[in-house]
Amino acid sequence: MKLIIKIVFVVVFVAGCNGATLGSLTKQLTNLETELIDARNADDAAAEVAAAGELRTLASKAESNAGKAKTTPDVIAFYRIAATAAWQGESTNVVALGTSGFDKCKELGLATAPTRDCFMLRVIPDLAATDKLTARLDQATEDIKAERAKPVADRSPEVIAQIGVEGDAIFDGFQNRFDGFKAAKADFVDIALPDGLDELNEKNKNFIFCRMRDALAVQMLSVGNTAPEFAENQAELETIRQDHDPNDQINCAAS
Amino acid sequence: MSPDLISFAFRALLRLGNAGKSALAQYARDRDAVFPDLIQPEPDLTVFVTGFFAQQNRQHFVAPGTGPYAEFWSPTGPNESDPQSVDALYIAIVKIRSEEGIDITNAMSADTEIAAGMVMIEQWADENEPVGPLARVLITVADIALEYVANDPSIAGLDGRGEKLLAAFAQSLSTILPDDGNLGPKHRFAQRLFGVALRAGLETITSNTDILFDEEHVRDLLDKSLMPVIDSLPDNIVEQLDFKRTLEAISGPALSAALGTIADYPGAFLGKDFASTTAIGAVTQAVLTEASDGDFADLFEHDGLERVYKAALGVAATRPELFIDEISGDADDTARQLLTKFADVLRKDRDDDSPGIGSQLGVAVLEVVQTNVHLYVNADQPWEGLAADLLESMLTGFKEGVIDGNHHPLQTVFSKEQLVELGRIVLDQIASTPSMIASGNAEITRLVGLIASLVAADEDLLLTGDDWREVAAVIVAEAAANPGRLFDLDGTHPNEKLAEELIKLVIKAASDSMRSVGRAGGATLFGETLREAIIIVVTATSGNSAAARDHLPKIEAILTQLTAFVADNKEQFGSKEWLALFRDLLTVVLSGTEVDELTIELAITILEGEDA
Repeated sequence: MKLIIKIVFVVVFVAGCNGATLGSLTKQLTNLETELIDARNADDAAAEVAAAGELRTLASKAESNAGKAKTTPDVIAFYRIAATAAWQGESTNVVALGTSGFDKCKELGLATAPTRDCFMLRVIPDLAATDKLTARLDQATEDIKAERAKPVADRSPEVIAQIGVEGDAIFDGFQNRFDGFKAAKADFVDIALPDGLDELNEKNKNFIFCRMRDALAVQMLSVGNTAPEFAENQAELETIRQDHDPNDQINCAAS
Repeated sequence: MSPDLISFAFRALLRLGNAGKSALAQYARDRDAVFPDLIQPEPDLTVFVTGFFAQQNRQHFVAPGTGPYAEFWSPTGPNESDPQSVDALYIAIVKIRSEEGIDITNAMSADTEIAAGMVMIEQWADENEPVGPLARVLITVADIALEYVANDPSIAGLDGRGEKLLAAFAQSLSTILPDDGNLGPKHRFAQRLFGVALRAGLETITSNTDILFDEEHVRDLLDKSLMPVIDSLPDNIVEQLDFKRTLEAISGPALSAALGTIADYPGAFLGKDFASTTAIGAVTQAVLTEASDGDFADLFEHDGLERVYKAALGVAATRPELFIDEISGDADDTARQLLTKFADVLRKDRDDDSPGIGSQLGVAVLEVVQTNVHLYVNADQPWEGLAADLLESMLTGFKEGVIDGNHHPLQTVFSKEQLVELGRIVLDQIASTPSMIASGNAEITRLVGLIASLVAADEDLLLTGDDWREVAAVIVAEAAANPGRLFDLDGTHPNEKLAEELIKLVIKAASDSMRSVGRAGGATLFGETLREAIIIVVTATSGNSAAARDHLPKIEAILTQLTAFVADNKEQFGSKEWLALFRDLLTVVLSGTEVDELTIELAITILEGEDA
């Protein structure tokens, strides 16, 4: 009888190595993400860089496991971990990981594939791009403020014009991300999302809308409201607002 | 160790191993996962106010010349010549947004800076969540346990009856569940349905201490009743929910009744003859499948479907040939046809004043069929159709016999049980008179209608339900023996409802007497006396309908005269004397002899003659 129990134990727990690896990588991702957030909130650049580096390593490990996993749901789960870690580690292959993972979801059929994992794989490339745009926005804001802090005579028209161009590019980038989140939701329109996921997507769309407004502000602060690109962006923002937030409920001060 | 047990052990290990691996991976995949927040921008008040007023729908606030805050604004954002412009514009935004119901106060202060964070998100929406990892293992373990019980039932620790039942369930369920532990919707539904059925079976054992199960028969019953139901699980998820909910609610009582049938008819479920098992399996499957439509069960009202189903099980157990195809030996469509035909009748003749009557009469019909099956097996017409026709005839007769459509006199006199009993009397008589079945449904409808109309005529409620049952028994017996003009059961003389006229004369005389003098005044014609008077009229005239027709006025006169006479002489005469005098005088009238005026002397003479 003891022998049978031992065999059962081995069969169940040793043979189940995919589950064990998935569990371990999932835990690592949560721990590293916590470290990263703590570092960011503490403005501890060194700790942030260290966490980001470990996240990139984790992304590679998860990607490697995705290639070896035997069931499609397991492959998808490994890709989700890889894409999330790559996004947070600011790796360059986020889009590739998201696309590869989401292709597996489509193979399985979105109606039966793991909902959260597939939704994340669908939006993570846009989320990673958004973070990069936000960083560019911060830089542009800093630049234009620095320029405007100078006496008018000392300001460089070329630098200001360049910031205006950057503001326009950031605006366009955010607009593309907004369309990306909208399209992701459309892909899952017939599928019930787990608690909080839909709200999270809406929150991210609100965030993008506010950043588009910030980008428009950077453009105005640099080139004024007479540039054709500014007028164009202003009209596009209004179209998006009327569609996304017709009652003006988004509080950009809080997002 | 037996080869069976070794084989079982390997299968069990394989199954548990597969399920364990799969469950572990699913657990890891489906754990809540981290979903990081987007990185927040560095808050900047100038960018914030500029972005707000740069929007097309906010520009009017700072429009040159007309905007209320134009003095703080320039073509490149806040007016750089006024160092207070950014703060002034921020206060303006707070005011504007406040009027719109949005509070942004202090949003831009340093202490409200939002820290980057993350949320944990589940894998599935509640409705899409697959069977949980633990449940998957448990199901597999349960499957193994059941299979083990099938190999060695004695470990169940129950007596022999329970062992056989468990073994039967174990084997049936084990054949459904997949070895790889990957359960689809049908497997999960089957597992739940079998669970419900097993509980029903164990309850049946508890309440039937002398029940003896033959394992093969129980397994055959489960396979034949549940498998087709499981196979008919709809593909559509919404329909599946309704289907499962209904089936899980009714399958317990249904299986309990089916197993109870084995207890009720043990002789039919032993040995290698599976005809009865096939038949009750077919009835059970039919009731489960049909009742998955909620409207169907509603037609039978309350516990009507269960009653009809149990009655049908009785027929199936004792007369399996009625449900089985003669050539193939498999169950045919009879059980389903029977239920749907009954449902059609109930749908058509539903009587909201008498809920449940239809289904209870349906039970009575099936009981008559069960004991007189030879009368119903007719090559020209399916027996289930005949049974449904019989039910319809009964219901139509009850309905048509009630003249006053505004109320339901039958309900005033009879309890539901008595009404059903009344129907049963008619049915019993029909069963003992095969010619009535052969002559068609119209006769039965008229007979039931006649009784219903007589009950309705007793407006003063002079007879009880029990009295009417006895009267009805005599009427049915006489009608069966003499279906001619007295009852016009063949419908050839629709205007000559002689029996009805005669009985109503008796009731009228009784009512008149009761209203004019009352009990205290010597009225005797009510209750038992009235019942006997009606029976005398029916029995005396049924064989002599022509004379009764010819002397109808005289019969009425006798009734009036005799009732008044006994009331006037209540000290000397009572109900017993009334009946004796009526019996004698009615014979005289029917013989065509003139009746002398009733005097005390004549009455005494007649009564003395009776005594003699």
